[in-house]
Amino acid sequence: MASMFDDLDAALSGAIKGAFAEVAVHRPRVSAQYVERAVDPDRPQHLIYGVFSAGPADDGLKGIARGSEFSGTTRVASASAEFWLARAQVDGLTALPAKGDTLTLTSRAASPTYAVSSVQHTDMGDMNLILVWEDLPS
Amino acid sequence: MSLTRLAMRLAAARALLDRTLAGPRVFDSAVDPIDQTIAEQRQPLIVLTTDEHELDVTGRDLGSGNHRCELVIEIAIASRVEVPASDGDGGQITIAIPHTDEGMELTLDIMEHQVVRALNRDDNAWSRVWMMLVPRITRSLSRRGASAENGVRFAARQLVLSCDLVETPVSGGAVASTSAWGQLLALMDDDAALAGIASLLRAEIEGELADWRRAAETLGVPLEVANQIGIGPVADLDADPQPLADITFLDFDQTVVFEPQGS
Repeated sequence: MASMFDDLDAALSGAIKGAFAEVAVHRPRVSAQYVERAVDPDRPQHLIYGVFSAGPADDGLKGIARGSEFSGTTRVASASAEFWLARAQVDGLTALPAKGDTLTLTSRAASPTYAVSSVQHTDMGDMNLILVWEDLPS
Repeated sequence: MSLTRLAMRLAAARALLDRTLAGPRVFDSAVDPIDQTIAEQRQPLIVLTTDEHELDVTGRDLGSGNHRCELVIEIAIASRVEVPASDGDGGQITIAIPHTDEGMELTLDIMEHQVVRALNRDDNAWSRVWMMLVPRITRSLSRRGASAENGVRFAARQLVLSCDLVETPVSGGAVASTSAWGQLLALMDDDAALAGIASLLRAEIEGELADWRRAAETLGVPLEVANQIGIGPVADLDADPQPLADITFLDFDQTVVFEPQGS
């Protein structure tokens, strides 16, 4: 049975979706080492609605690797990007996004395409996709 | 410290130009432009810097001794890479290395190999000069980095070469054309982008200082001290020693004139 908290969460998620959500084309892909990722024949592409956000990010060349620090000053400037899906949207998905899939933001200029580098779930049932730029074959 | 650090870095940057998968994207000590390059163009690139420089000093002699300097070569990639290759039948094909974690690591391995080969292979004037400026490498350290969390999937490699360096020519004299520095300056003169820097370096190094003044500068001793240890003029520090021309024997009222050698 849904609690009052669930009702509040659903109402808030609906309001956020109405105000900020945008459409994106989700293209599932299969991953293999050393070759380009290919379209996943078992998971058809479809449209999803979620909230895209991107903010300035800054990394050293060391990134997330461990071990002794890099000397030098070279840094990587980028935009940290995420795509948030509310629980109602996640519940309606026929194919869950997975690492390696792509997401194309068709309502934005030049329709940028991102790859999903990580899928984060919460106990609220919503989902957060961590996105990265990926150099796709032309 | 040593101008040879600058010379070695310039030579290394030129030696790597267009000889790795980074192509012309070899940057000397760049910081800000690289941020934009890797995030937007997403092409492989190389950044060269020189880091710690160490010298065992005797007295105040800051010019000579064992010079050790770290040459830091950073290789970064955030894209797929297409590599020309042979198909085995005399034809050319293009091999695409995908923008995946495994693909980027593979590319970095190849690029690191290309970097070492470009520096150590005597098939390029800049490599030759670099090897003359760096008579010995005492340590090579390769570190890796990677991230796919902040909007860009990238991988990087940092190669640190601990290099012994030749000494910078003592200021005030001519640079021998056959020396490492002489050959470097000649190459720089022929390079439109570096010719101005070559002139600057020549102005710093070359000149017509008397030998004793150059020796005093090299040793880091005041002219007074240099004079007292017997390498300067006897009386006037503003004057320079002159070739012996004649000797007058007062008691005998006689002057002996020395003819210059070779006359």
